[in-house]
Amino acid sequence: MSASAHGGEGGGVHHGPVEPFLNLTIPGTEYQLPIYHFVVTSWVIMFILALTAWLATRNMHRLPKGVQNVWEYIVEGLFGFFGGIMGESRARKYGPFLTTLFLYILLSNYSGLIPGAAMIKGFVPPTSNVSITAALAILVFLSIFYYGIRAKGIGFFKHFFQPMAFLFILNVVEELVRPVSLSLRLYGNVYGEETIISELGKMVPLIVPLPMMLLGVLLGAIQAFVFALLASTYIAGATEEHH
Amino acid sequence: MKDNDKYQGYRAVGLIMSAGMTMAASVLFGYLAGNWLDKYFGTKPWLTLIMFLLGTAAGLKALYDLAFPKKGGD
Repeated sequence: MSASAHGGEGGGVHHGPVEPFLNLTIPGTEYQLPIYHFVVTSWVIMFILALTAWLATRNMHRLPKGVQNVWEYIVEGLFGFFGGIMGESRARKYGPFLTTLFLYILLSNYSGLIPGAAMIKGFVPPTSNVSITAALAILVFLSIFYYGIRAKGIGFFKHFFQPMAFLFILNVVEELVRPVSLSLRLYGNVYGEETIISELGKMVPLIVPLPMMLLGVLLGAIQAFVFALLASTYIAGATEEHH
Repeated sequence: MKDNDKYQGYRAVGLIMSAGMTMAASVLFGYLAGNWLDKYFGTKPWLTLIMFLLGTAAGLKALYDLAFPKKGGD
């Protein structure tokens, strides 16, 4: 049985601290810069996004076709969705950031569905690593402050004292919890799904992991969507104008 | 606005999927932050208790804010 053949290697060997893909020595020092597999996967995803975006906008037509058509469909749909949350004009302003977040997370979740992912050592979706999701969440956290201060100046900090001044501490805790919950939600979902697929794959490599992979298709999209939705809600709350 | 109705459905799904972790992370954050502060100031167990309650309250407020976002126009 394949279970005994593969089971001896220990559970979840490819998760957690794996050895890096390669170790770069920083010139002039003795420090080493480890480059992990998920960082390489992340680079590939960035490259795919940048390349297709460049291809789509390189030679634009009034009647879109090919890559441009696909991109226009995606961007229009997402901008429409963000417009429903924060209004049309703000969606055009903050949409590029939010759309990039959504597409990066979506592709990175789906990179776990490539045959061999989660079963080959080191080949895991970048979002199944808490460092990557924490980086994304901190990016959202900082962008709330950046966009908020840019839109409202010093008045942005007034919302910490609303609706009542004594809620200040509560508002600060709520603000600090946001990146924690954002990063843990994404990481937990993707890591859990990948672990189940890999453990099932070790026991019965054929057919059995398939239902979980199907669930992964749904979950990957939902998690990317939830992340973008929450980021847009936060940014909308930070940049809203009172009338 | 037919388009808006469609997006409302997606929004509801997103909120429901995110509610659980928001609450859990708030409580956890409150507890851990209180624990760390207690170690720092040597006031065990008071700050842990206070921060735990604050975290829980902040979680409830975060859920409220998600469900009823302040309406901002264009």
